[in-house]
Amino acid sequence: MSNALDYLKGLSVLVLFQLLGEGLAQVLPIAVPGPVLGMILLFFVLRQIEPPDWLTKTAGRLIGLLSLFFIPAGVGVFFLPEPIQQQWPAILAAIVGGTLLSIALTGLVLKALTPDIADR
Amino acid sequence: MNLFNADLMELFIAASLLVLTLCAYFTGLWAFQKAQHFSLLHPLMSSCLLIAALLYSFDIDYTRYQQANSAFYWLLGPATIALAIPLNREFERIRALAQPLLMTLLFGAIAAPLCAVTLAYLFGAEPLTLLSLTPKSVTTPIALGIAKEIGALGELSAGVVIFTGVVGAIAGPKLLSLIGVKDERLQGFTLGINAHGVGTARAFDISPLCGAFSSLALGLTGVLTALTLPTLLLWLEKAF
Repeated sequence: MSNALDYLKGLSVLVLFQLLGEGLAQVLPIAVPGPVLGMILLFFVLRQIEPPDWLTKTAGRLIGLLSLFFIPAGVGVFFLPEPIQQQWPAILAAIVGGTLLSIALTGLVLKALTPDIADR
Repeated sequence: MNLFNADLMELFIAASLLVLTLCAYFTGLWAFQKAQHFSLLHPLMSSCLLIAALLYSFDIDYTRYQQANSAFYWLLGPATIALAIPLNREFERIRALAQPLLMTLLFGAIAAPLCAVTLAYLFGAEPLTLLSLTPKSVTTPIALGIAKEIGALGELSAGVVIFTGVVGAIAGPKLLSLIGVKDERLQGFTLGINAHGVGTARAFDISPLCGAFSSLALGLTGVLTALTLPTLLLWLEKAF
């Protein structure tokens, strides 16, 4: 029971920061998404005060479930409008080829910039 | 009486669709563990395939499924906020590498959409599809915001984003080791730039340190892309 309460407290804090982030996003003149601003806000707060155990626990659990939260949007790729579906070779090339290529390129740049640690 | 029954039926279907997501997720996880983490069986990919197959065979609208599952989608928000905690924990180790990380970020945030758009163009994609591919390496909530901003097709962007993440999670760590990027901090950062939240979930499987670097890259790529991509596309549109 105390476990459930811990998660409830943790989730409340995270949602509070999300709301703060969304609010800040409305005020700022630039289009930064609310959740990212919320993450930055919480980060700055955590630089000042040590996070309580229940928050760390909730965060770990939510991060572990990330894949689950992506499922509803992922299913959508199989239900695209007809004209888009016909372009699946191009879409597949971008998803598979494009991603592998950009990972390799980014990795090589990072390796070149950190020659002393990359290969260990 | 009839009306009441219809409402009850609706509720029952919505609840079933929610449970379907959970069942597919745990089936996917179970299969992944049974197959000794055989990477092509990424739980996100297998569960999405399973759900799509079931929706097709029972002739259920995707929109209906999506509405029934909005709670999961909503939880992406708090989960993004939660990334601040590992980020804070590993901050000192991140700061030590700040300069190379930021330079790589600038490069990666441009390289990822550019690689995708170039390949898709060579394979004959139409302008709307190309546009919808540009936010592909950014985490879903941000990608959807960007898609709206630039007039792309949101459903396509969301799907492409997720499977980009799956490809990154499946092949990323091996590919990086192959080209000599073996350090888990660097692997995490590269995964976060190119494969956002799905790659970050994979990075946390490698180690909490790897996950923290991935979280950092995910957040920074999201912010940087959200700030620059709409303006960049506007310039390109004017130029051509």
